[in-house]
Amino acid sequence: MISSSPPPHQLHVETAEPLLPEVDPVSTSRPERDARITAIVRANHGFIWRLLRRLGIPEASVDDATQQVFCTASRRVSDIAHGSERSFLFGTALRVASDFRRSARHRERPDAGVAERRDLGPTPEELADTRRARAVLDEVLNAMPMELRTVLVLFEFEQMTKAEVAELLGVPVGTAASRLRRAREEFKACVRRRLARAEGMKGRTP
Amino acid sequence: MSEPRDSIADWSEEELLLLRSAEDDRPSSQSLATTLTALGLGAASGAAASTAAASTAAVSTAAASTAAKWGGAITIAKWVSVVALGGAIAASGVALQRHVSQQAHSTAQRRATAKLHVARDPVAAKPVKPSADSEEQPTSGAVPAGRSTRALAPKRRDTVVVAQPDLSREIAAIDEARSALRRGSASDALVVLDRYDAAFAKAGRLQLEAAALRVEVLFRLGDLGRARSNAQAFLAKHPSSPYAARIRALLNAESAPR
Repeated sequence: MISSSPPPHQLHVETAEPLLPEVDPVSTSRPERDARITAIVRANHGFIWRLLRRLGIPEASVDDATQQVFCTASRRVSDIAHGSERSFLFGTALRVASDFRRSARHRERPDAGVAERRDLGPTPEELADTRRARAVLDEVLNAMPMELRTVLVLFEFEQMTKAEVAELLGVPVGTAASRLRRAREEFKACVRRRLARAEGMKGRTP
Repeated sequence: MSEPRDSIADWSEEELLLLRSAEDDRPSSQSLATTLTALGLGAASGAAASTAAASTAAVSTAAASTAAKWGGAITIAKWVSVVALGGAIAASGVALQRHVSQQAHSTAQRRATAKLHVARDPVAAKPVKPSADSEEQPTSGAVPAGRSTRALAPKRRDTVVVAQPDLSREIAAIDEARSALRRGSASDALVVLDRYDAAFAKAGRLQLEAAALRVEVLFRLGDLGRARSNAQAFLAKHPSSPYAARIRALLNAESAPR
């Protein structure tokens, strides 16, 4: 299966529209190179930042992770085909997010003496707290397989079309559509499990 | 590209609540400038104000379309189910009425969102160390687009659900620190925050809250040197965080003539 189907995030297609003016990579001068990198950063910074957030980089680290993606692009700019900038950044962001999650898993020390929660009764104001809802969103997305999570993020949060998602992932549109269906189902299932767990915790509260 | 997006998925109100929580999650106005600075693009960072505006506009496009898509989808919040969701979300100890009308909830939610916007006031860009560069590994996804790559193909373990720190434990720690601070035990609060940092390190999802709380605790303890340096570090790293205004207020209050 691994050899017969393309990897989910294989990036071998180019975006339909060149995001940047054409510059010949061979004869690119330093000012031209800098201009190209600047244009890449400007055109994609928000996208990469949000993508990294939704792929599991915590708020406190996302600026650094974003810089890491663009530092890679900066060093490899001569390797990036024109029109493929977003694909390159997307692939790099997936790698950075994956590395981060792996290292976070190693750092994780769940029994480090943090007090158990005592008050599980939320107030309306607390529930209205977008930041906390966002933290739960992170948790729900973290529970999803990466392949489905990525599709969900691109479609639901980045508002891409299925064709755009398919192009970025390097898969047929039908595959992207199928993944999106599964991603939505998985998201719903994760939310349901989260709700059930929250209910269970409330049930144990004196 | 002209393919119409399909209709809204049949999201429940809880799911919509979660999806919408990401609408305003975007880089600060300084984030772009600091990235350009880190790349050594000084001249570009000089134009940070305009580019930040452009970036914000681009971000707003996605956010606006998201809002248009989800906007109005939540008509009446179902408190019972939302409370179940929030059971995992909240426990800050703020003493408020538990039972309010559904309309009050909607108002509170808008207010909470508005607070986040209000806090986004820019401060001067500060150069950042190119930490990403030094931390980066040689194989970190730097693969030319346009050809199939092994590096970009997710490994099997990427598809395995990653165990995450328990959010409720993070919330518990933050709440415990807040409670300690409220009852005047700043030193206890500091101990709790140290435990939080030890437990959740970089993967913590409430790190911002912990860092902001630490500044407040240090000021309360009278440890002004560390309080100021923590506050300044916080503002440098998170200038537009919802807590930045409070941190600045603490700094200003401390430096104001008495």
